[in-house]
Amino acid sequence: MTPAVPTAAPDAASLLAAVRRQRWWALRVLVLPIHILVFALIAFFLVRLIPGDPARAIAGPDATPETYEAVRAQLGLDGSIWTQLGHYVSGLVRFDPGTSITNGRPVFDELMARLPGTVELAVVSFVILVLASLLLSLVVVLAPRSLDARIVSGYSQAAGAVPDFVVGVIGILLFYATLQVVPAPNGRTRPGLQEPDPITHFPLLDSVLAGRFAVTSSILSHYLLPIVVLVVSLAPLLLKQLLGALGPAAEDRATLFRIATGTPRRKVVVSIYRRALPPTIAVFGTIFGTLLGGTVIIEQLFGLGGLGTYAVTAVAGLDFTALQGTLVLVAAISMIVFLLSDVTTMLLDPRRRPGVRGSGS
Amino acid sequence: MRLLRQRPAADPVGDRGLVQITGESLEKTFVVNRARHRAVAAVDVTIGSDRTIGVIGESGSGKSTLARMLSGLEQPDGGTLDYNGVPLGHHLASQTGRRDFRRAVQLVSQDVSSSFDPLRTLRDAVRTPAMVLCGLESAAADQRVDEVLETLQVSPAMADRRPHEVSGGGQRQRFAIARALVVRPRVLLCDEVVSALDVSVQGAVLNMLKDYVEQNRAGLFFVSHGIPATAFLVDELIVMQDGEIVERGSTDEIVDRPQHEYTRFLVAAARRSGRIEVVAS
Amino acid sequence: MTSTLPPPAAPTDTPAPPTAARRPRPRLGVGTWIAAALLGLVLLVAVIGPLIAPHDPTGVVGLPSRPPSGEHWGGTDSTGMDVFSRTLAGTRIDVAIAVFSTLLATALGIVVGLAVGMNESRRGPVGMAARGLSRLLDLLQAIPVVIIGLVVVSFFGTSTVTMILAIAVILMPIQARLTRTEVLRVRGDAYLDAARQAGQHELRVIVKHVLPNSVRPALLNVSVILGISIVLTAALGFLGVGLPPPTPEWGSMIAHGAGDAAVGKWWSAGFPAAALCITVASASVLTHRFTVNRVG
Repeated sequence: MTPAVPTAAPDAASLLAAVRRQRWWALRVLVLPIHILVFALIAFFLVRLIPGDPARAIAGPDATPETYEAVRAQLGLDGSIWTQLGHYVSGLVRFDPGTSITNGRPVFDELMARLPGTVELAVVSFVILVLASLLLSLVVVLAPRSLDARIVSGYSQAAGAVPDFVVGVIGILLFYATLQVVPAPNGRTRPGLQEPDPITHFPLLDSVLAGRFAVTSSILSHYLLPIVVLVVSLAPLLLKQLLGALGPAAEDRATLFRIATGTPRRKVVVSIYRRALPPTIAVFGTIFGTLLGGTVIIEQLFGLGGLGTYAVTAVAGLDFTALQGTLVLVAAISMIVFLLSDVTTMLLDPRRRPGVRGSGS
Repeated sequence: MRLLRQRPAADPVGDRGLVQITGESLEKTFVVNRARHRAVAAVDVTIGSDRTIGVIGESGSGKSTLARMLSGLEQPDGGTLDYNGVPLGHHLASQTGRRDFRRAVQLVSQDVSSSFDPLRTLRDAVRTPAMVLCGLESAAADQRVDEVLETLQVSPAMADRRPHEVSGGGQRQRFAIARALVVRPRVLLCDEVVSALDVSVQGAVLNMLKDYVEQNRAGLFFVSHGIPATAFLVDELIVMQDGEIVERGSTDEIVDRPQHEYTRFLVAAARRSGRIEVVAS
Repeated sequence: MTSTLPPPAAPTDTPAPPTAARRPRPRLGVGTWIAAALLGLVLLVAVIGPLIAPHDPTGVVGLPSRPPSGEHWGGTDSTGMDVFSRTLAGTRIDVAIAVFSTLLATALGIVVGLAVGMNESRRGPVGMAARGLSRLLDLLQAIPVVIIGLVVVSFFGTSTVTMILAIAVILMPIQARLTRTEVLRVRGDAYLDAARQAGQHELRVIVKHVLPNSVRPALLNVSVILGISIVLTAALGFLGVGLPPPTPEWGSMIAHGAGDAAVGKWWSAGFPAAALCITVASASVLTHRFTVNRVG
């Protein structure tokens, strides 16, 4: 028998100590809502600065002052900017960014109808992007002097040189117009195919949950080219980072030691990746942000009608509330992904935690 | 800017009267990793062109911070700091006041790799105070720089190099001293100026400082953690520990009859090294 | 740029500080020369493009959607405008926006980076403002530039000048963050105190000593910013919030031509896309060549 262990619930002091030990990530999580709110305030003022008067645009140039005022009130644009700000912030806290100026529908509903499609495309692309980069980097690690390796590093140097929308147009020309291997770039499913009723609002997931596999395969075939385009145009960014981290890791003394002591090749490679991973995961946030921006463009090109289309329409229609809502939503997603990638990096490499002064970091 | 500098090239010999800096209950607190660290606490000190004062104490005792406050580079958090009876803050607020003060009071710090701007020549660094503070024109300033370098036994040709092209801390430290002496300050503050140097070079540098102080009847405020070097240069000693002054008095008094436990420890340590009798005589 | 750098270090027995570290200049390969030549060509076309365009770049000059021919080297788009002439004329617009917004973003970024870095640890309202601005620069980094671009461009409006302003504002934080990091490194250096002791005004100390010692990363990053800027300009044009048609701008031409590409008519998007890629790629090759062995 081990000595009696006090079975009482952990007392407050030890809980506090535990929290203090975890401060490096707990603090980041706690300030996240504040950061999002700060950005929401910036978005609010930025959007208010846009020249143009939506009330005037809706009421028409010939409207009487009474009609104009009525429209303003209806749009929530009456009162001082501070009153508007108060409404906006109190709404945001309740996850209610208000109603659209142009069509009167709640912005939250509109965003939630479009966001899942965008997120689905972005997340699937991101996963494939990461896997593809890892596989390609393996070529370089296993045979650094081979032709394949040189092609891969050359490709990684192309980061940013060929924009995603150009890759998209080339893809459409090649695979749709010429080879006819992918469906037309105008929508998510074959025309006439009824999409199932939304359950989760993620189109792909919904079709599986509803058991409509004909829809699933149609969505997949429509997603194929956009995903390939996103992966091909953004993979160099990650690959460049990964190769940059793998190089030093492969020449590390720890690696030489493993090789010298006859460690199996597979284990050596795993250990190299283990050391190259933290700096790579640290840039996941940036890459996902870029990917989200790319998705917005690619959706537009392939007629997938997601968040990007909504934002572009909002800009054209001077839809303050819709624009604010989109900005805050995208910012929130980006910041959450940033936080996740930071915390993961710090989990893998404690030297990166704030307040730790390690050597070599 | 150019016009402002074109005061008489001859560098008028400024007011040679008494220059005095008085600090009363000086406080300085730093925040390091969210923890407050009191570097200097309730220190009263008066330095001037008529006194040579040495400050000894271990690293972290607040002596460097004190020197930086007296030279106007660091602002005290509490207490008063007067220059010739006027609050130092007033002097530093105006351009004339600032230049007047800087010309009279100069601080030389320990040689670190960043003592000189890596992108500029050493001559540029030494010449700037002569031009800005003494109103010398470029040619006159260069001449003054060469003179000062000569008294410090540095070849003027060396001045046209950049800091990383000069080997040895001893050479760089001489340039740092030249940068202060080029304006002929009435009070010279030195913060650990010989600590990073080889023992062989230390003596030469100390002699140069002594010569300057004696020939120009200037004041000295010499901060060091070694008693021998300090005692060689100054008439009065201040002993600091944990930001406070624990003992003060004439050099002879303190070296012969240290009162405070900490001072006794320092003096005993210096005696054991066998150097103190030589210099304190 | 080279004027702020020290001449090659004479051999000494002390290690040189990092700012002066130099490795031998890498030998320039064929690729570098090709990239330089292409970029030179792009810049030349940016200057003289509209003059040598065979047709009016903003007018209907032929039948719509004709393939490249002797009369229309780049064919015509779906409204009957000459693709080759528009691509040439677009060079000036896209390159001008990229170059000027990059210069502006770098200048602004350096100023903001200096201001933030020098004041961040001060007490009182100035320090708080600097810390707030610093956090804000970090936050902005998380948001995709295209999304910020959508809003900022709609705020500034759409003309060449306002596009330059908008893109400069969007890209400024990148340069500001780079400069800030350097300023934090330089800020505690002893030569700054020495310069203050020489009686120089704080502003002069910053301009004379802090600035030259902290601009290097931002200057080396200029060509990266140039690439981002030119792609962003085109991306916004592609999304339809950039310069309004019929302005010959590569991004909106590609967007316009995407519909033609879907029916196999490659040229109306192909020519501007090729021009865009050549510009970005040659800039990126040169960047890589000249920076990869220097900073690391």
